[in-house]
Amino acid sequence: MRVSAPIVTERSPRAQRLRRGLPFAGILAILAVYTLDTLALGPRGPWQTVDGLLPGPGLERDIVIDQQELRALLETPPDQKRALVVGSSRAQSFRPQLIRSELRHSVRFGRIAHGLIAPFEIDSLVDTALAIDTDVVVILLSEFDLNRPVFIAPPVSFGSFAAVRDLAQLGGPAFSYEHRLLLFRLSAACALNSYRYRDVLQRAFADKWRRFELGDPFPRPTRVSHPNQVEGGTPTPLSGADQKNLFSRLGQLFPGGYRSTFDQIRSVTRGPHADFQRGLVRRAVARLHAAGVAIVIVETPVHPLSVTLYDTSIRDDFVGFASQLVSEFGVVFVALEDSEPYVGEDFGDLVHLERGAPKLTRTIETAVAEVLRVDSPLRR
Amino acid sequence: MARPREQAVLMCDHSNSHPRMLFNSLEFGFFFALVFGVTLLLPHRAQNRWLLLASYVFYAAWDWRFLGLLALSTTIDYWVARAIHQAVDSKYRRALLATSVVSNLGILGIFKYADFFGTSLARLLGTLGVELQPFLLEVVLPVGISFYTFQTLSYTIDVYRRRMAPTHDFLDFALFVSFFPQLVAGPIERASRLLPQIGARRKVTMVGIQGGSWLILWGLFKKVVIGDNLAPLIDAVFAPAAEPYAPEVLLATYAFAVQIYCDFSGYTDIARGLAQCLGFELMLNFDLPYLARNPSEFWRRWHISLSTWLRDYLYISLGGNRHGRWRTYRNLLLTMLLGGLWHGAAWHFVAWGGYHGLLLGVHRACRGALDRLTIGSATRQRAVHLLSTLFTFHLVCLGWLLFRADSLSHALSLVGRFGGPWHVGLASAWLLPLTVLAGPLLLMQLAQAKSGKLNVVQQMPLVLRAAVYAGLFLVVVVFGEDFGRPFIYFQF
Repeated sequence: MRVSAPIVTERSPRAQRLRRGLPFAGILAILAVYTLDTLALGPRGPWQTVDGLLPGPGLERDIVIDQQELRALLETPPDQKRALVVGSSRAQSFRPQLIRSELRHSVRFGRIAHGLIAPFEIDSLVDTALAIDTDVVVILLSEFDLNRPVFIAPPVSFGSFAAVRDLAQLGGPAFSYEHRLLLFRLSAACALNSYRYRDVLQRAFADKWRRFELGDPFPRPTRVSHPNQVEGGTPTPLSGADQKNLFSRLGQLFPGGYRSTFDQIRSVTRGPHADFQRGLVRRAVARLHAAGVAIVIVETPVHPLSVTLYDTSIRDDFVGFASQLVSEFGVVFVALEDSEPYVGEDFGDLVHLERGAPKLTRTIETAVAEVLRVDSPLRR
Repeated sequence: MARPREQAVLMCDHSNSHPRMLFNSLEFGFFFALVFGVTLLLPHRAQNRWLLLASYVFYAAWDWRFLGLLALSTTIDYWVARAIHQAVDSKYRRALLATSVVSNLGILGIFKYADFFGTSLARLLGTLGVELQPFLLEVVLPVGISFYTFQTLSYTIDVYRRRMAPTHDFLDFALFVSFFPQLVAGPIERASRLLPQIGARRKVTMVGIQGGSWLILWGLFKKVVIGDNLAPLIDAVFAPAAEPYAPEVLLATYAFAVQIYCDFSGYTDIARGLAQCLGFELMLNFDLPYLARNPSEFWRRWHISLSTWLRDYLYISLGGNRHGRWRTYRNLLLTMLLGGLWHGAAWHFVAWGGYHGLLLGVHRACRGALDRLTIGSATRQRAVHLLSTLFTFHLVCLGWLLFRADSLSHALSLVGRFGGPWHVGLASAWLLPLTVLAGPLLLMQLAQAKSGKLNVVQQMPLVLRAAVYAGLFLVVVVFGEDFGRPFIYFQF
């Protein structure tokens, strides 16, 4: 019997050299990083576990809750509409559990709200909103959001190259060069979830063991974020007597403290920073509109006393800007006059609703219900 | 929509207060990506010009005003070395060498030591009852000046000693002095090693990029994960106002030993890795120094480029070990005192150098007796080696205490803490973080020592290697300080 010789395949020297030269371990490592980064730190990642590891409430916790909200939206059955409610910590007064059950059957509400969500974050969120196939985006906004200094804290929670490009375009070349570090960091946050969520991960996994606890003499700073701020204008000064009376009244109204919100309110001013903020919101709205997503802007109230602490005509600027968005992009704008009236008792401090949260929730509920009944501009 | 007026939009960016272009900053990442990408496209000569331009941009990012000093030092040594080479008369050659030494050390002296010596003299006279207001220049120390000054000096001295011929390409020489991976914190390269690499056609290979990338990753891990995360512990204990207990001083000193190693060797690894990606091979600067069994071995493994520089250009120039025992001890002590002063214009650095000079002298004196200790069974040898390593490590740590303290008196007060109360309970809380942070380094070093190879990771099976790469990368991204905490050795 004839036995055929074993087939030997010899690689050419060039192929061998190529094989030797190819960084297989590096390629494998890049794949592993990409997979881990996308899966473990995407909305379907183990955020509940991370939540359990966080020491308590705070920005990091809110960011983790965002991810859980996004996951819930992603898992919404196809017959249910998806509504994304976005805003700063003031938007936390929107309580999805208070929505009437008939509407909740047909619309799944997700709330993305925490401190440091400002126009840049809203612009950054557009890609995420599109990725989860959102039907309507509700943006809670007022002059309080648009007329305060630009405050960008990379990496906060959302990253979008388009938003970084918007920021660079809006600022222009000189701005981009001067603030290139910020742009680099924002870009890195867009490229890698592990960079974007590093504060959250550090707080959850590292702070326990790397805090060199010896009591007060040697406290360890645990936050690594250093926010960037584009300064605003100067508020009209208050006279000494006015300020004393005001502080006394505020002290009675908010015994838990009012200084931080007071300073925030006082930083509501006109100036280039406001143009900048409006530019970012406009770009976000334009991108959502181009993708066929319905947009609702709900004017968010502040305490009646707060309105007296800045130039009230600034509100007219905001309403004017919102009206422009209505005419240009078909945005549904719910002004304060169209909402249930808010009174001082509705607020927990100068800017956050407490007892008035159901009123805000009902306003959003009504607006979303109306918008989603309109069929033509929507994708479904 | 109206665009904001640029001048009205001010940014309060805390990260701007940090020096730019640190290897551990994102800005440098983008800079290097650009430099690397363009380098790949260029032919050899143009590569050198491009790298020179990049090096000057890199240096200017720190402080453009000092570009002139860099250029001045480059120009002086280029022309002096050529003149030395052409000169026949030995006196003239010596005078030319003196020109280079005086001008280089003069610049270094003005920028680094003038105020120190002025203040010290005024203090000394003050103790004698003579009041003197020192004239202080109060100039900023140009970053990397100690490094590039030594590098250019070595070139001129090597030409003077006829160990090498001078280069005839000024721009190549300028690149040798300013090559950005090693410009601000070494390794202090010798012209005989780096200049031929600049002059020759280089190959950027996949193997080089792989090896370089690994060095960059490992260097970053050491710096931003281990070193920077240990910094708060050390800063707290070494703060002048702190009142730490003995165990806290002890642990902080151990932590500093780890931090300074990770910080400096991390920088060197990154520098070597960057250079390797560009087709250059920089010298090894650290060779598992904490596994040294005696002070002499420690200095053969720690900051090798500086210790060999001091040996070749200072210790040997002083006579080395050629003139009897006591002259050898004197030379060792002088070399190390100046080595200490090179690190910083402060007496505690001088004391640190002197302390190491003493250690080297004592070791030299006891060398024979110590060698006899190792004679015997293999177990005995291993035990002696282990004990010697531990003993040497602790001697080095005591030196670090001098090094890290703010002043000599501060160092002495910290040493005095060992005679105070030992509240172990407080420091025990630090053991876990210290172990977690230093653990990977220790494991790696033991593996390197056991295998006898520094590139132990490259010997691992493919999947394990990939896991190490991915794990380190993610840890660097998540737990690294991303503002670029400056490297400790930049201050020297």
